[in-house]
Order: sequence, then C-alpha cells, then structure tokens
Amino acid sequence: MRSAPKTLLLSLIFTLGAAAAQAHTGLPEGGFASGFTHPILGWDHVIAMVAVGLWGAFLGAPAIWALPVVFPMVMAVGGALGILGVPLPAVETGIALSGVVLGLLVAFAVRAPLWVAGMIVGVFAVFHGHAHGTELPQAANPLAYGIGFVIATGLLHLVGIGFGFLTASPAGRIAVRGIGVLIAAMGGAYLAGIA
Amino acid sequence: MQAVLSGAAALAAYPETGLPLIALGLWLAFCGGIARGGIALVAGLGAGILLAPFAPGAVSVLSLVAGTLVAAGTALIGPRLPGRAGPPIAALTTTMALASLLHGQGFDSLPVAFVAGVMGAALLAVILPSTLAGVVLRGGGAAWRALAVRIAASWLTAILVLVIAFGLRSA
Repeated sequence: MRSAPKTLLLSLIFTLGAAAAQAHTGLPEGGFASGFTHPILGWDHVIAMVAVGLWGAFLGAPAIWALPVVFPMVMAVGGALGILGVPLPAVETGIALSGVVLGLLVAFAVRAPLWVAGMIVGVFAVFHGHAHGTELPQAANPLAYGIGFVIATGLLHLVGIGFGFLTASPAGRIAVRGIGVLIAAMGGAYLAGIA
Repeated sequence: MQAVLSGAAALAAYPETGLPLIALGLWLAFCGGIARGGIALVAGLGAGILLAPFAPGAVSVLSLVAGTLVAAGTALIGPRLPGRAGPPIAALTTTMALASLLHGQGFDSLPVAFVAGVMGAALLAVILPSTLAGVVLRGGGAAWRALAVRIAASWLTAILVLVIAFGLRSA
C-alpha cells in the first residue's frame, strides 16, 4: 500500500476514534458548538455520513457530487420535521438500517443509477435529520446551531469522499470496501441493539 | 455615522434578511455576476424600503422561503442557470429581504443614515459572496470549482430550512 492511502486510513481511524460516544451527550447546548458536535458525537450518524461519501466515490460522476449536494438539503427537511414535532415512525431503526444498507453498498461496490442512489440516500437523510431535529435544545440559537450542524454534516461527507478517492488504486479499493464491511457491521450492531 | 453602523448591524442581526441575500450572491455568480443584476439589485432595495410600511409580519417567513428557493436552485442547477434569471430574482429577493427587515416602519420613523446603513450592508451581503464565488468559478476549468460553490449553496439551503423551522416552532 502506498503512503497516501495509509495516511488516509489512519486519519479515518483517528477521526472515527474521536467520536467516542453517541450524540446528545449533554454538552453545552444552543449555539454553534452544540450544532457542530451534534452530528459528530454519534457513531451511528458518523458511519452513515462517511458511507454516503464512500459510496459516491464508487458511483463516480455525477453521483460523487450529487449526493453531497442533495443530502444536506434533504436532511434539513427531516430536521425541520423533527423541530416542528411532526412524528416519523421507526427513526432509530431507520438510522441503524442506513449504516447496514450503505455499508453493504460500499462493501459490494454496488453501482446504482443516480436516481436510485438519490432515493436511498434521501430516505435515510430524512431519518438522520429528524433524529437531530427532535432532540434539539429548546433554547437553541437557530442560526448558530444550523450553521454548526450543517457544516459538521457536510464535512463528514467530504471525509467520506476523500477516502473514496482511495478507490483509484486496487489496494485502496479493497480498503474502502473493507471499511464498508465495518460500517455495515456497526449498523447491524445498532440494529440488533448490541451497540 | 452611528446611525449608519446601526443600520448595518440591524441587517446582520436578522438571518431572514442576511441569509437570502447571501444566497442571492451565489445565484448571481452563476448568472453573470453583479454587473448583470446590479440595477435590479438596487431597484429591489428601493422597492423593499417603499413596501416595508405596508408589509405584514409574515414577510420575514416569505423572505426566508425565497432565500431557500434561491439557494436550492443554485445548488441543484448551478452552472445551467441562464443569465437572464439574474435580474428578476435579484429584484424579488432584495425587495422581500428589505421589506422583512423594515416591515411596519413608517417612512418618517427611521433616520436616513440608518436606512443608508441597511442598504450598504445589504449590497455588501450580496456583492461579497458573489465576488468570492465568481473568483472560485473563474479560477480555471476544474469541475470542483463549480461543485464547491454548489455545495456552499446546498449548506446554505439546509441552514435556511432549519432557521425557518425554528421560526415556525417559536411562533
């Protein structure tokens, strides 16, 4: 393996390692920091965001840019539904399932049509957004919170896309598919209630 | 000078005014830049100030919705936006943004310097992102340049949607 893929893989490990707990940990709430940490401090959210970027890399253009452009907008719609108290069934199951499905799509390097990929990612984006929106602090500074929340989500996608570029080399492709297996396994653990 | 600065600060304090104008700046970057929509921009500012005394409170939500649509359009269509889409959107967005900020204020209730500060800050809120995005777009033929601006517009759309939801919840 070349040094660049090694560096990227180590970065991924450390990045994920920093997210040591589920989201909603009681950190100071209401502003940019709260919004920024909300998507990052939760493995179930992190693995799905990264998987979106990784899958986009496997799908190639135009999906590699369409998914990170569309996902934040759809996720914000889910967030808005959560903020407004509009109920959505089986949100936690949907979030766990997103890890399983997206991880498997990466692991098997599935090449779906753009509209199918958009539908899959969009549905899961609503679940993730709704979970965040439901648990927002009542006294949040809307603008600061929204900026932090969206930037963190977008950065996680970019991390995934960055690692997705490893697919340019055969060894990197195997590594990325291995990450997909790991993500699917973690999603399965959440789905089974083990994690 | 104090009144001018107060006017500028007023715009910065209300996301329903500032965010749509930033979205407009990104939109105009794909539609030929400020030069193409400049007259419409100034006309919209004037129209917004004239309509503000008669605007209902809901105009702030309308302004946010307009900004959301402009940002989403930039994110989804981006380089395929026609140049002629610049002026009408510029006029509409700035009209609603200014009417939102100054709604309910009579013509004689605000100092001219305050209104000048608002207008100056509004112009900057459009020109700065538009110029920055234009520099990025004109930097070369790489596809990632347009993508970067579209991702910024996508993030802005998401922020606007969340701000709208927060506003509706508190209402």
